[in-house]
Amino acid sequence: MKKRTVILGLFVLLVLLVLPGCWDRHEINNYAFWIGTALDAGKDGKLVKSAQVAIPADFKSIREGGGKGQRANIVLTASGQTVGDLIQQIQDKLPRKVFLGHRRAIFIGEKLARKGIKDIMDQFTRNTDTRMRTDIFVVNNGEGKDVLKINSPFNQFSSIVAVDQDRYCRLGDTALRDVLLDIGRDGIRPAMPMIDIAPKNEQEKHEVIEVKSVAIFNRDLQMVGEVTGRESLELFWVKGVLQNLLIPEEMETGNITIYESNLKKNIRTTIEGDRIKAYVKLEGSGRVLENNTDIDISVSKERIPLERKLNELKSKQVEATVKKIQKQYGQDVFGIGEEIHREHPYKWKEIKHKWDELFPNVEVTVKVKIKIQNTGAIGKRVPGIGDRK
Amino acid sequence: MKISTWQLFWMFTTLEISMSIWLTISPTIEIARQDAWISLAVAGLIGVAVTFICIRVSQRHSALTLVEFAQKLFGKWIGKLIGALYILMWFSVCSDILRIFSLFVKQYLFHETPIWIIAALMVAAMVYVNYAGSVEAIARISELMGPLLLIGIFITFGLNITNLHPALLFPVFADTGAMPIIRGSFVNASFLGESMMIMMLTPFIANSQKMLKPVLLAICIPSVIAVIAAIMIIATFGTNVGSTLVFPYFSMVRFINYLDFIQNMDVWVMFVWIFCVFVKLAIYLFINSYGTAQLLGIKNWKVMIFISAIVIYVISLVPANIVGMLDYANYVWIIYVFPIFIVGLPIVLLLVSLLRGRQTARA
Repeated sequence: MKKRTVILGLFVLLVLLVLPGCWDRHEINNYAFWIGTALDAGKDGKLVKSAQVAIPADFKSIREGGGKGQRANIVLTASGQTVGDLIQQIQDKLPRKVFLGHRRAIFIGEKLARKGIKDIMDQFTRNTDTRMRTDIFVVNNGEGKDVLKINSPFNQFSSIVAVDQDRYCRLGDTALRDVLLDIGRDGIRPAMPMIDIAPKNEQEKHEVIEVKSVAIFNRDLQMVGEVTGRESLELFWVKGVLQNLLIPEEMETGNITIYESNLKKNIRTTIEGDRIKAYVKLEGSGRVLENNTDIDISVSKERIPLERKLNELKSKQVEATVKKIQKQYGQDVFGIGEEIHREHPYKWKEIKHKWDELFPNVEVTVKVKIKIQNTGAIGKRVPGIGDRK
Repeated sequence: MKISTWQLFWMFTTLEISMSIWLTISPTIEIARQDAWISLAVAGLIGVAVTFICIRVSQRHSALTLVEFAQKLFGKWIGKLIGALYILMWFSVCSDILRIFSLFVKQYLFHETPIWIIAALMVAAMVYVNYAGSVEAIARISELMGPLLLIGIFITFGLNITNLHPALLFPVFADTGAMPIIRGSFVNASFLGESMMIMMLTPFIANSQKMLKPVLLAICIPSVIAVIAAIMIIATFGTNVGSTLVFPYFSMVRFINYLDFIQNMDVWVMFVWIFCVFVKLAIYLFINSYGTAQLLGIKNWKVMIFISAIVIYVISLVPANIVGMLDYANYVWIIYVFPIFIVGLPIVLLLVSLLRGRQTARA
């Protein structure tokens, strides 16, 4: 018995000697944290990949205020055929081991997006080092690597700034997942947030990034077009992923702006022979932010007609946006096909193969139903600022 | 000391959950698309049915293991053959699980560590627990780890709610139809059928006449968890990504980001889950060594622990990188083991046992 214990003890010691730490031991200061990736189309069909990598030493100096103007990251660029090849090339330029687990955003240059992104998508899901919780952008009229080079005043990493900016105005860090959800389904086409590099002006020392457009993709993952501003918000609203929005409406006597939140969408579809109809119902609750009209919103008798009027205006607007996307790009980024799939699953099987041809002719009716729940901090307008006599 | 019914419940719960959330969900989604959860519910029913048969068989021979009562029912040679086949099958499944486990750990935690090290560490732990405390010690570990795993799973389910798109679960039934749903259910049903190991464990259970309820409950709870996990995975990643992910539950846990504060929980879940796989492998090692010892007539079965462990270890290393991860499950377990060892033979054993029982009663 005793002998066995000794043997067992020796065995345990042996195991301790070869504990896995020996192979996968990486101190945190041996890692190069990869924060953002940019992919662009280079010359002669090559892929250009840029990486925004953190320089940890500079964190400290920036916090102490000594390193003003110094960058906390470097942008490395490599060109090659595949994404995997490029990771090796980036590694060759770094004294530390590349660590992809903290990558927050992917930027795709518009040229590459228009060429098609089918060949670069695989590794985003396959690589076990990366997280699927990543934001993905198309760079409007630009190259992905230019975004990485921006030095934002808010954060040393323009990638993180882009993610945060996207979160407050559109999708946030689930964008890659949302794009992947739409790829490969018959009744919906992917849409991706777009990022603009705003030029420097006199007030701003730095270049600023703007998230205000949405890129529309086709079945083969080629970008076919974009919608900007209000239209892009309405696109995401009809798609059902938007959380809140803020659009001023022009009335006869002035502007009124309502902050709309708790947004919901509901789509009903009918198929009668060749005619496919979709009834889109958009709901939400509103809070008045600005009222430059003559209407006294504290009085229900005036507020209710205003609500009706606003909803009518908004319905027309959204309808126009849907029509524009139908006619101009013909891609079902709203997922109306998926709604048919859910509602008429057996009929869908017959039409799903020709959905791209059918979608532009779907008759879409939009009905917006925003309820003004809150008139803001004041009811009627302050006397002297446009009060009624 | 023998295993109490409560310990038995936790033992089976841990070893069923650790498999069903790990390996069965994405193959089921691949076959049954967004109706995978129906498949998994059907699988639960099948699992309960086959387990019921196995328990009835073993309760009729509660003092004997499968190796012994097969000989009693069929005579020495056929009985030994049946016992040997079962043991061979258990050797193969144990090696396969050990291999997938090592590959999994290598892929998610230690990229550069050789597989043989990971497997050796696991085997060392298995040998130790069997040598030091045999099946009672394993039961006590599962009593400890089972609740932790359950709590971990439910926390992750709760935190994932904000990521769900329920629309992805529709349309129900219309896309797939009855056949794919039933075909999809075989995956998890066959994994739940691992409960047939109860036939080797009855002599060690304190009150084996009362074991029906806890074991069946230990099949139901993992099935319910598998159903919820499938719904969550489909509603998080959709059927396209969900069916291609190799370990969808862990990918889902990785996706959780609660208030920018709770993230990367996969390491915690994996930590507890590794203990549960350990419980499973340790029980298999016990069954294999004890069964082989009985088959060969070796008095001191603990000698067999080392031999079985070495055999399992070597087999687990042989096919690495050559055979795909789930090939064993797809080409051996579901096609041959499930109909023969999990459904067929237990029914035959039960029938023969009932017939023999009547004969002896008459005589």
